Amino acid sequence: MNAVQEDAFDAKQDAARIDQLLESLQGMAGPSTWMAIEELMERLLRTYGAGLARALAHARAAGADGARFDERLGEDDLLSSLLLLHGLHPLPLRARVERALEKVRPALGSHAGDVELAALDERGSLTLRFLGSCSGCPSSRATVEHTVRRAIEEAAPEIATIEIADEAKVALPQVAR
Amino acid sequence: MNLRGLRRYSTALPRRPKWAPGERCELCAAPLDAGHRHVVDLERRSICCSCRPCALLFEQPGAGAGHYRTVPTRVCTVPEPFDRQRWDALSIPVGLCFVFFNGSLRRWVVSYPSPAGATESELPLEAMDELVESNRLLRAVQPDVEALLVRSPRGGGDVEAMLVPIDACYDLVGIVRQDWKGFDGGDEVRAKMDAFFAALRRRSRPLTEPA
Repeated sequence: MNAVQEDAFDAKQDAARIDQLLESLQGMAGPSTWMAIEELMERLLRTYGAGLARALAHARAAGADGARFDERLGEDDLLSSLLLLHGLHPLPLRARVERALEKVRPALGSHAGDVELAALDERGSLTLRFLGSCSGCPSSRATVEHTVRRAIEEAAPEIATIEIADEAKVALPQVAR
Repeated sequence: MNLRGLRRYSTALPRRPKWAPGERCELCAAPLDAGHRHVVDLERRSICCSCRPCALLFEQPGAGAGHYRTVPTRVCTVPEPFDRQRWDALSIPVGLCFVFFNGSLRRWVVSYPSPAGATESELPLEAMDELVESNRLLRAVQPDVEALLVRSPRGGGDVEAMLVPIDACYDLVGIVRQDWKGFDGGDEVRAKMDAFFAALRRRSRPLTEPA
């Protein structure tokens, strides 16, 4: 990894703590305080999002090599999560979904043969198709689905629904059991 | 890395359904019906949409340590004609306004609906005292939650005055702001205002002294 990513703070730990704090605050605050907290969060996020968008625009205007720049942004875990949060990620939705599936494939391991993108519409409905030996086995299927859903959620938070097409009738005979 | 918790606050991502004003009680977040009540927040001087249970809670003066006060529902009239002379002494420049007692300022305030919203100004103390002295409806107006709605036809004629809930006045402000067209408001806003006054008249009861 490059030197840019050597940060003093643990971004993942902070993200988890933010989730935790928001969740407990929602239980502690009365409705009007909670509404004020929500407004505060929205405004803060909007301010930082607008700043991030400008920084990107400046970098591009100053002659940052487009493809190389986008590539680096996409590889930086923290930045990529922030860009996704603000709808600023340079990679289009479909490409991000494909990449997420690619990344998750090795992790599916012996459970399932493969997973592929069946359909994706502009309203964020995604349909996936599982192929392979374990597609009919309910328990392994649940594990696989969970892993895949998490990967998609992280790479493409704008996906509204994920459906699994249940047509696992593939050429592979079910002899692996 | 997953910023899941922050996602609901991002305006760039598809919104999860959140409620619009008037859909939830602003005190306890319970869902509201179409004809919900209102509670005045006396500290912030604002009107909050409220469910029935919360409205009942703050109906008594002094409930909630005087922070909240439920807007009553009564609309009252008196048979005697409005004192036009004393009204004119206030030199209020418009034909439609509402007068209420601002409990924080401890003063009578007049508010005019206009295309830009409601404009408020304080009323001259002495002239107002005289009017209150002579007017049973004004004496009955409860501070901050009720008002005297006054409509005086252009070029003379009888002045119409009704004791109304303060939220009704803001409904009227909404009508004027939304439908006002051109210099004089136009026929549409006049028709809506007539319908609004007719509905209030139908709701009205003769004033019985204790509020």
